[in-house]
Amino acid sequence: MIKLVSGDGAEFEVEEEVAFQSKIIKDIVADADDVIPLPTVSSKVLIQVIEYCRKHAAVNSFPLSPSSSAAAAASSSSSISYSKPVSDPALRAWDNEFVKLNNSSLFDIVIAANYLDIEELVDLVLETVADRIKGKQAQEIRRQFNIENDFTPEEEEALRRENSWAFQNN
Amino acid sequence: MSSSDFNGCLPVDLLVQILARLPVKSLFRFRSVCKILCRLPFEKHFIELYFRTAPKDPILLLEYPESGAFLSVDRFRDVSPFALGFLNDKVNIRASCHGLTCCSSVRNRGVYYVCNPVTREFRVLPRTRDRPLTRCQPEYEATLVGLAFDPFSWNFNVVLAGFYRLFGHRPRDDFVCQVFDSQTNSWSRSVSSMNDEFTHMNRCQVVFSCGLLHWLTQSWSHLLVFDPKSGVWSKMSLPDEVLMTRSGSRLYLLELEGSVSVVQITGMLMSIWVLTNHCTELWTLFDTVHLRCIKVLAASIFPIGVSRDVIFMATQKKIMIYNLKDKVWKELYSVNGPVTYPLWFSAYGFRSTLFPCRQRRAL
Repeated sequence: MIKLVSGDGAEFEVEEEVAFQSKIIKDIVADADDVIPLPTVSSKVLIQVIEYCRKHAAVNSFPLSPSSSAAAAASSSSSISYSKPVSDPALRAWDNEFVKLNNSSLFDIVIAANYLDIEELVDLVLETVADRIKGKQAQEIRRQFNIENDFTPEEEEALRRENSWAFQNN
Repeated sequence: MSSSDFNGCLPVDLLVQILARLPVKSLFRFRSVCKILCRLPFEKHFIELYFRTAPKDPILLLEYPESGAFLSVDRFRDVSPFALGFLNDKVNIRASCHGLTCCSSVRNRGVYYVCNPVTREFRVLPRTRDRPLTRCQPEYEATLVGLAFDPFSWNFNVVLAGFYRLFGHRPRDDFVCQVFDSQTNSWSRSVSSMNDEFTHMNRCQVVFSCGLLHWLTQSWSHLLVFDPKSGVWSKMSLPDEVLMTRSGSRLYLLELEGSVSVVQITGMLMSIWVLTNHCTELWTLFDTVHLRCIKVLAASIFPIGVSRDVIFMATQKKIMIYNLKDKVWKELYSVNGPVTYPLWFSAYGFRSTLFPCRQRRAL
């Protein structure tokens, strides 16, 4: 068991395979002890990250559920670089549910996941946010990411004209 | 950029990672957000990040049957006009590689463009010859056109190859090949002996992978391979399983996320092969797809683009997509009414990148 301590002092005991979804924790445990303080991660976020890791650790250790074993057998004949990732539809559905949060919660999770180096979770959140904002207008992007508009109205209008194709709806 | 550039709730490196996952259209719309985002699509580090992280699914480019304008269709059924109007010429798409496209002028034979249709930057290639056409030395239409863009150096080569037939003479085996080098802005010419024939689809489907250009020949006995650096033509064998069963089947050549892939359609079965090792010519069966769900279309459907997740197919009037993970077919686009050319006749796989075609990467 590994003990994770959140920034607000809450302690979480998790199994090694769950914690080792994070490459950083894996490295720390390799040459230090089993209590890991995570001062920048709040307990609220840590609970969500652990939930994700627990789910993915369970699926990764038993990748051949009866439904996906056929697909895995079919792809095992491929070489390593071209074997299709064994994508478990149930896990993808779970991921889709997991990211049904507002953007600021997702930002907190991705900052923590980035800090803990949990690549799959970082990708999942970044892709979710990209998918949400791709149809938005510049004004909404500024508000969402708290970005200040440093253009004069004339400059902004000129940019809009220059990139008018990007503003056309289909 | 430092993290203090945005007083946001998300560190700037993560924001940039999100932007690198957006469609190019959104990226260009967000140029008006602030000055940093305005410059981003032209910055070297971002161009390279975008190439690595942007969606790997191909986008389909189609020539709109009547007007000659182009359309792009992606897997989300986003159908938008794909404007090549900035070239100010009526063009055919001849090849595309890593987001750059090589087009030939319809009106002025022998005029070729290389452009990035997404950033609308283009380059007119110099003429391959200065002398005007004469009866004795007709300009031959290049049979094969290939574009080889190196994503590391940002240099590219354009290859034009075809049989040279003198007026009034029997066709000969002289295969004339001209290679344009973007660094020197000049053409070089070589002649080799060859007697392969190419169908329309063979000519449309050229794949650049591992520094080599690949075409399928009409005989379906091998791949024709050209090295633009050395100017050497060679042959590469197809998978034994394909060679043994090729009679009664159809073969197509596609790029699968940077690798050479061959699609074989035999009756209701479609097999996707990937060249996993270039040196040992090792092919791997990537996936097989049953066409029974689209039975009525199976005999007249053509694969146009493929990624790890999806394969795009075109028929006379429809564009279909098959999701290799969910095993679901979807119709993406269809034309109503009569068409002069079937949709597959001028459909090409394409991938958006931000690579420039006018400059070399600063070292």
